[in-house]
Amino acid sequence: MENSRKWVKSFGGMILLFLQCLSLTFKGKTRWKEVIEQIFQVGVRSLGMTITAGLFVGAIMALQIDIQLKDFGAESFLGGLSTSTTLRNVGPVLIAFLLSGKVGAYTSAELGTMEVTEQLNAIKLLGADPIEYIILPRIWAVVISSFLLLIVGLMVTIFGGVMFAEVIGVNALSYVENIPRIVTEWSIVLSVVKSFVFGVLIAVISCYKGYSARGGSVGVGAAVQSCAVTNLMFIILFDFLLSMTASVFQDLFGVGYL
Amino acid sequence: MIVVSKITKSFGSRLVLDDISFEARPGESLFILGKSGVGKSVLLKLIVGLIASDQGSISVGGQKVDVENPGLLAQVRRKCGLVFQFPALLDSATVFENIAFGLRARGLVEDPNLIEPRVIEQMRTVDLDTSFLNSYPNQLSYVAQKKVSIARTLAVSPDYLLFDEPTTGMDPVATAVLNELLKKLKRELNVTTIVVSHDIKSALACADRLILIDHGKIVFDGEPKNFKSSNVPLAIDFREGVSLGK
Amino acid sequence: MNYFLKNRKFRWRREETLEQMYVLGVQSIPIIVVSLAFIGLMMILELAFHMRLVLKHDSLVPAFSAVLMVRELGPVITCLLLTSRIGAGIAAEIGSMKVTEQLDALKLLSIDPFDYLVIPRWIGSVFAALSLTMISIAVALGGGALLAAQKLGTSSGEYFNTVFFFVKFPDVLRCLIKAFVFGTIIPFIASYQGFSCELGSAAVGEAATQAVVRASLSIIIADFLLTYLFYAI
Repeated sequence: MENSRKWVKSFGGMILLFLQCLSLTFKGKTRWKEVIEQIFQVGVRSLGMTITAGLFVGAIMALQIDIQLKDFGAESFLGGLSTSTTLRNVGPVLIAFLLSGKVGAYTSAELGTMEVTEQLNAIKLLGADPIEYIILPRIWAVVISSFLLLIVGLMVTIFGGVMFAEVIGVNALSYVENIPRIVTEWSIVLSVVKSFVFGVLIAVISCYKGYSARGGSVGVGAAVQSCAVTNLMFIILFDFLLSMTASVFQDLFGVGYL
Repeated sequence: MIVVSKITKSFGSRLVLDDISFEARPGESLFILGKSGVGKSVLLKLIVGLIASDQGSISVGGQKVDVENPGLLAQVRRKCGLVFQFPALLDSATVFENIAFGLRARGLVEDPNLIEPRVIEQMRTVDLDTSFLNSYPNQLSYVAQKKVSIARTLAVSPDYLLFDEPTTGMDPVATAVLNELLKKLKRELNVTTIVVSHDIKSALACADRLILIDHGKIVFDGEPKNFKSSNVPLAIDFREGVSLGK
Repeated sequence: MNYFLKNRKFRWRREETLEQMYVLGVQSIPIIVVSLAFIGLMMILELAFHMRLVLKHDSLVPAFSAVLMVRELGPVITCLLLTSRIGAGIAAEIGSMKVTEQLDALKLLSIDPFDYLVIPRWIGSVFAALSLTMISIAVALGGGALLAAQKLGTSSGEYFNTVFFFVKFPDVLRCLIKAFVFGTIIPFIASYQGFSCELGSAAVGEAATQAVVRASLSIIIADFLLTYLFYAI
């Protein structure tokens, strides 16, 4: 019960932070220069990892779907099905996992250290709002970088799938031709929306965990770990919610069916 | 004048401050001593409203410190400067940007060209080499970082200066340098200073008045020369520590 | 790396091993179970969408989702979750022991840090990976059954029939092998990061982050290699 109270408090805190940041943004108080600096710090570092992951995830999905389809002799659908599943689901989730590990951990560690060394308090005392000066730029930076990295990663998964198809003897051209047959515009929309939402999740959760770190370097460590786990759980949760929404939407409007 | 009245604060089951009352009079240099980790820093955070007390009240220059009221709290903070135990400088900003931070955040200097001279003035006040203007905190020695942190606090011209354990973790030479700085600030700036410390030598050298806290209560409040002859147990321990150290 | 190569004899440390099995395995249950339940639900949704799209009927959805869970998502997602939960912890623990010179202290007491620290964590991690993968697949399938009943009109009887028809023993075996491999990757990478941690508290945090990132990426790469290996056989 003690634990669930902590969870509720955390969750409430995150929503509060999110709303505060929204309101500050609408008031035009975002410090864009810092945002750009942070994007370079945070985003560029993760590019290599994202591309590697994208290649392998694309290949794995192509492989698995191929195995399944072989049993049914439906291999011609490989390109479309593999790409569709990867873009709609597996891709965003797995790449977001990795991003939350790298970007999320970096951000929560940085903010956590700033908090426990009293830098954020010092800012308060000098008459500035630490959320406006320090946290908001980072949230925007993480949202933008994560979103862009996810899109890049997803495009790489397609490439990974194609390359792997060649390896197992499926014609690359027929693989790619099959894609537009199965990947609908709505699937792409879903994929992009998920990338954006995951970016926001990673940003808010990591910044909140860093900001609420207490108790010296042990506290920072605890914040980083909590950040990693919380990120994963929320990514999975929102993945389901968004898929569910898409599903309901599709049932209502009958879209996405051939 | 800062008036602390019947302050009580607990963290969980730990009673840290028990019915504490004292005054910091204008222009005086007040040292608050006690054993390490006892909660003296908590007192400073209560004064600037970073945390709220369980009971009692604090007023700064006639203004009540009310954690719930951001407007009043901002006024209190304009009058008080708090120098933290760790330099707490923004790592990704230069010395110049750190010192100028408060000036900019509060819009105290209208003409941007006037900011740099103000910053340099502060650096001179704390005896900091002005060639460090564009250096980053991690390029500076610990003492230099502390000086930047003090300069940053002074830049916004507070009426009251609060120091949290300024000499903790510093070698004797660095400590002496800092003590000289404290005395200089007192002479030249005429601010009221509250220093929380467990460094008895600094206190005896710099303080106008000394308060000793033991188990959350004030056990001594008076002048350093009276402290030297006080019969309070903790005072005796603190003095013995000094003479043993000789 | 020297530690790993020089060591030949392992001494069985019962208490530490049991403790690690509890901390790493049992305490991870709530998070893993909840997360995988959602994954199971999500699988049904996505597969239903694709099956309807391509094959125009969805009677095979339970079977496909079960197969994909067992072969792929079950071990991978469970172990990625496990990585974030225990990877940072192991790296940080060992890293801070290095920084505070406790590792040296152990060596002076003739206790090999590898026996004392790494082996129990390895056993605990593999235990966690295997058991949690099985539990989470069960939960995911359960969740899937509920959703399938609601969305596809499949009764639970039909659901489990098709599942057991399509999921064969080799699939289960491969799943467990994957879990074992992933469960080994995590503690070894995390311990390595901890042992090679530089001095200073910032470095401990760095080590922990690197542990999670490297272990996660390694799991994805290992998954690919294992899947390819199984497929080629």
